[in-house]
Amino acid sequence: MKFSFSWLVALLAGLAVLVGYFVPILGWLQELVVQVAVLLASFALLAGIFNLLGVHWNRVDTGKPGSGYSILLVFSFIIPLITAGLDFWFSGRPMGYWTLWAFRYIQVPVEASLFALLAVTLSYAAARMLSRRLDIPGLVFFVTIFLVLLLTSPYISVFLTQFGLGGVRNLFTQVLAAGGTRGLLLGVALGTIATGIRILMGVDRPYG
Amino acid sequence: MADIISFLLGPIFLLVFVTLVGVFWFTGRKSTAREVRDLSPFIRLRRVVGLAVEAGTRLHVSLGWGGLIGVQGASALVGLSLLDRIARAASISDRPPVVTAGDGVLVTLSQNTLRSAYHAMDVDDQYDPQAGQLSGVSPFAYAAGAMTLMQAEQPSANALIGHFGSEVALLAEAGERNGGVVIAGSDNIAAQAVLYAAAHEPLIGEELYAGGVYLGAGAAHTASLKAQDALRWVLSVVLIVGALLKLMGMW
Repeated sequence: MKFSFSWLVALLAGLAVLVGYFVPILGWLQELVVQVAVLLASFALLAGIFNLLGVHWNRVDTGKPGSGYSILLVFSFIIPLITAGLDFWFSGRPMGYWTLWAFRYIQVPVEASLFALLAVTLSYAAARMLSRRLDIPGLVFFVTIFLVLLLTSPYISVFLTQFGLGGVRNLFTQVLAAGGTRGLLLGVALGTIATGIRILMGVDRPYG
Repeated sequence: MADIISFLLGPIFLLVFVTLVGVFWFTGRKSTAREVRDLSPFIRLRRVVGLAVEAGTRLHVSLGWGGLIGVQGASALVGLSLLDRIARAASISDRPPVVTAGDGVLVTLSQNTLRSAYHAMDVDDQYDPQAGQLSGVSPFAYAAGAMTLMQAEQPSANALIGHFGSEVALLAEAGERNGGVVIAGSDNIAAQAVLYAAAHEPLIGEELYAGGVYLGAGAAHTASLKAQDALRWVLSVVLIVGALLKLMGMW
């Protein structure tokens, strides 16, 4: 393991946050480090936005495939600037009628249509999975999807409750699902701790 | 008394974890035997990286939109670790890998990872700051941006490793439509369920965190994986015994 100044900074920052969880009296230190991190993250976001613009400007400039989308992106970047400018001009605040108009009538419908597309994509993926992965785990997955959709649908749910079979629905949607989720979360939690330890030890250095 | 025990439990668990990693690292440093089971997503990833270098096709790594501040940061760090291995392996390629992320910090770190990987391989001129891109700042904007890149670059393999929501299905679908292999994992349970159906090679549960071992990141990765496995057994036994004691009314 090679010593470096960046590793030392990462180690001290990581330890400060970690110690804050176990020693409440040092909570202020944890808060301070997290605040600095949030501040740096906002600058990184700004840098990322310029990077995004640079990438798409470059694509338009070189006429790469998909440059039509890039023109749209650059144009979309300008719209909020204009709306915020208009709001600032009329109301003295950067967030007002025009910004909310752009958000409500451009961004929300676009994201909602992507969400609708997601429902179709997921149904298609579930059907395709049967041809791609026709094994026992795949079949269990498919049958579970089918049962949970069936048992949580409003009519079936009312029917089950009326005949005192609500427990069947709960067995699938709460007991079995919660058990499986806990098992997966346990693995994720242990993996998260292991990753954190490797970063603190300086084995993984994503900061270069 | 119970308060003191619950207060000390966290530090003790962490100490045991660190000790186990240290012990496995020390004992396994000189071992050359393969001590882990085969995980097909990583085996396939290693293969497609080699094929992409030979065929001169692009590789795409997507790090999600979770950022680093919060527990979801660990999955993005795993993605960065994999990016380092992929960038090193593909450093001789005519078309180096591209990275997309939905968070500014991850973009900066991905550029840093690419630069240090190329520097380590002595091919500094391969580095292009625009190879690490912010594709959008909200989950769907990120997905839409990454899908556009997939269409433009036609990558032969897509490694989606990080924090995603259910919108990851759109990315997996776009990857498949463009003829690329999709290897994907996330810390989010909803995304894991979606990926199980949508990705060619999904990574479920803790499999995501084992990538370094399969891509030759070193003995420390193997040691941390072994520590993970050992503690998972301990926790499983504790959970089962606790449930049985509760069932018998003894706790």
